[in-house]
Amino acid sequence: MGDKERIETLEIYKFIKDYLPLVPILKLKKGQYLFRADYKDPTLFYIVSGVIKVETVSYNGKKMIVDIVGRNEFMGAISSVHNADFQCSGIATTSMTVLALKRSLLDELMQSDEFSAFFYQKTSKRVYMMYKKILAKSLFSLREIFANYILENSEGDIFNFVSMYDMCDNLGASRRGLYNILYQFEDEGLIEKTEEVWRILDWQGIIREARQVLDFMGEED
Amino acid sequence: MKIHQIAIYESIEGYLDRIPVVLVNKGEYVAKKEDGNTGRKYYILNGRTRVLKNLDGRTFCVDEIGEDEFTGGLSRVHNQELMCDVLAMEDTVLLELEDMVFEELLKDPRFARIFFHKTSQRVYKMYKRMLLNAMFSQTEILAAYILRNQKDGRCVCPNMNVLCEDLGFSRRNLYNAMNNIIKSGEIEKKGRNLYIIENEALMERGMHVFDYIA
Repeated sequence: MGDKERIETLEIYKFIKDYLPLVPILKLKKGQYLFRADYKDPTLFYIVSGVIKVETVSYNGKKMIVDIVGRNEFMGAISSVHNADFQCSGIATTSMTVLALKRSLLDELMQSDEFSAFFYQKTSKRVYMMYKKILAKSLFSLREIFANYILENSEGDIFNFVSMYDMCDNLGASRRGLYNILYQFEDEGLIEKTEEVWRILDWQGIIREARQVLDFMGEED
Repeated sequence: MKIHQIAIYESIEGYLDRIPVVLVNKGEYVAKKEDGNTGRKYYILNGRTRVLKNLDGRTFCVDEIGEDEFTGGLSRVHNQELMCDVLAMEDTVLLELEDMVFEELLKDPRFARIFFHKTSQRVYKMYKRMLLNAMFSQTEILAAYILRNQKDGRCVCPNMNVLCEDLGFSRRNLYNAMNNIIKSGEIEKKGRNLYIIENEALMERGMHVFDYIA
């Protein structure tokens, strides 16, 4: 599918189709920044294709992944639009194509009740999901959250993960904390490490560990 | 606030005979998980509510909402059921928007815009508060809280349960954070009062939190 087709099938298309000459199309390579916390740019973006990781870093280097977002979502300084600046940066995790919505265009689009409702509905749906995930970290132990993470990232009986670094990033956990739990699960016969992969041995056991998180997140087993 | 002054009045004018006005006394629940009514939606005319998440005996304050705002089962609209209790912090007058009325109102773009705008503003603020707890230490957050709520070097603490809810700390963590700051000589506790002894040191402790929430 080419860019034109990808754009015409976006949910936002009906609102912007008369403004397309004013909407630059940006291409990003994996690892490139779309926006940065230390560079205040009011431009918002709409994802045509690809995936972006949104993260925030504290003054002492503590990093937290805020969201991972794909096609048909708004991106950029959205929290600033809501007067709650999260001070985030957005990094492409794959090659990406995005539409750039300059502030003047956005202000014009927001005059329409339909577009405003669309914008706020889309962005609030995402932030509710983000909120639920971060609230879960306060309500549940790392063991429970990690058990849920295993369920979310397994295919068949193989637990897929990119790297420990990536997992620690996603879960906001220390390397040591996560290793401790991995070895606990291994000792308890819930998972086993083979040469190349981690394999789930006891699905019911993992589900039991993750039960409260599953119920809270409203997910099915 | 009078009903004709609220932001959604123009949208609900034609539905007023289907929108009951409800009074909930201070300390009573607008909605409670055990009653199975956490899905109902309300609009606050007067008063204030606190949205609480209870899990295994621990209470977490999700949000505090005042007049001219939606409250109730809002997360359900986004298929993200938080299943929270809603407690009236003072005598509160609300408009009850039962499901059918709400679904009809949501088809009106004016109402939809106001609903999604208002509720998303709140969730963004809620999320930022959670981010704060994740990104900064509890002593930093407590230091900033004391400085924000002090007058002439004195901060009057609400009771510990309320403070735990406000800050999102467990009771143990709150006591630990407070004792850390007291041991450092930056504050002194007498009864419910916290007196700032070393203002500069306390400012330095809390300044990154201030920068973040600015």
